Amino acid sequence: MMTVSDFEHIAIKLRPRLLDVGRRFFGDNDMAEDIAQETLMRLWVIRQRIDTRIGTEALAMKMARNLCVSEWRQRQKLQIVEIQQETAESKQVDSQMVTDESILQLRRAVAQLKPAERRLFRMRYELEMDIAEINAVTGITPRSISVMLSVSKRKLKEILMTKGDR
Amino acid sequence: MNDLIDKFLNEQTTPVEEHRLANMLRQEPDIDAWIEEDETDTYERIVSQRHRRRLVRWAAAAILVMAVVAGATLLWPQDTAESTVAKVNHTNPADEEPATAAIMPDTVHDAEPQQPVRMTKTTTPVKEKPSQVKTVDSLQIYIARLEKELDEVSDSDYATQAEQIIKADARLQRLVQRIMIGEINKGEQSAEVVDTKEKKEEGL
Repeated sequence: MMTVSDFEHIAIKLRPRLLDVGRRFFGDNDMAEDIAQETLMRLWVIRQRIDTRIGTEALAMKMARNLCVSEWRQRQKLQIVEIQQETAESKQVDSQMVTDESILQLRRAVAQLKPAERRLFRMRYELEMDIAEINAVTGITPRSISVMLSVSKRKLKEILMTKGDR
Repeated sequence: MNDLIDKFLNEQTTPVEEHRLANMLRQEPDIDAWIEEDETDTYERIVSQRHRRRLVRWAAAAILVMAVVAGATLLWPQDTAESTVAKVNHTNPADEEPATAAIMPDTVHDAEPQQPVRMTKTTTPVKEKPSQVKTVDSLQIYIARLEKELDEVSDSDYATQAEQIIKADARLQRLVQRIMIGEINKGEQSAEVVDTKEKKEEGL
């Protein structure tokens, strides 16, 4: 089983190769960064299921390629996907009946953040990663992570206040 | 807004409350799909398609540039020394060939030019159609052409060309002399005619 220090070590090693996978597909550094961060975040989520003896690198590369294709498909039919996501989200809320209206509003507000902000928010407040782990995944300095999280919260507050006024 | 969310956005939540909120926000991901799904083939296919498309774009751009350059070359041909001289001095190149040929045939002969020999075209022909031309102009063009050709030939060819020029010059000098003698003779003949007329009048 992969420990946190194992993960941090692997994340530093994998990051450049994951960036290459994204860059090769999109030809864009920002998208490559998104792919690398999302892959490492997913790797962190499944870290307890990963056997370090079996190729973690191969798995990470495969996940990165999957993410590239997935992102490409979403771009191909962006509008349809948006509608489907909204419908799926509504259905999930209706079926589970555990999430109240405020949580749903918060999720929608989070969806309006920039991808990097949204990812940091998810890491910190959904996956409950600590700042060091986020730093290992994103390569962003701890100080910048704190600032970005604070800015994200302020934006969410503004979005929710605006919606509340309507 | 929910009190918990309100406290969270105002950064007043405790770790316990944040954990509670995280549990509410968290949506269980489809981890099995992450691990088992393999889109490598699709990834490689899309990358190669994009690579091919990029190559085609570059090729199309290169062809377009070549077409533009070729079009520009055809529409605005470069001026040679020869054509520049022609543009400046000539108004009708149709008259050029006989005059030039009379001075310098393509084979070297010391004999007098009995019939003008047409020159074979060796360099860029003059395309303009000027309205007037003089022998002097044709001579200038021919000299310019010779100078240009001499720059491009080897030493042995140079000697041959120089010999041709000298012979042509000699022929030109003889031609000029003949014209001058002819003019002098004409003058003498007209003077004789005048003298004869005067004598006849005096006789009368």
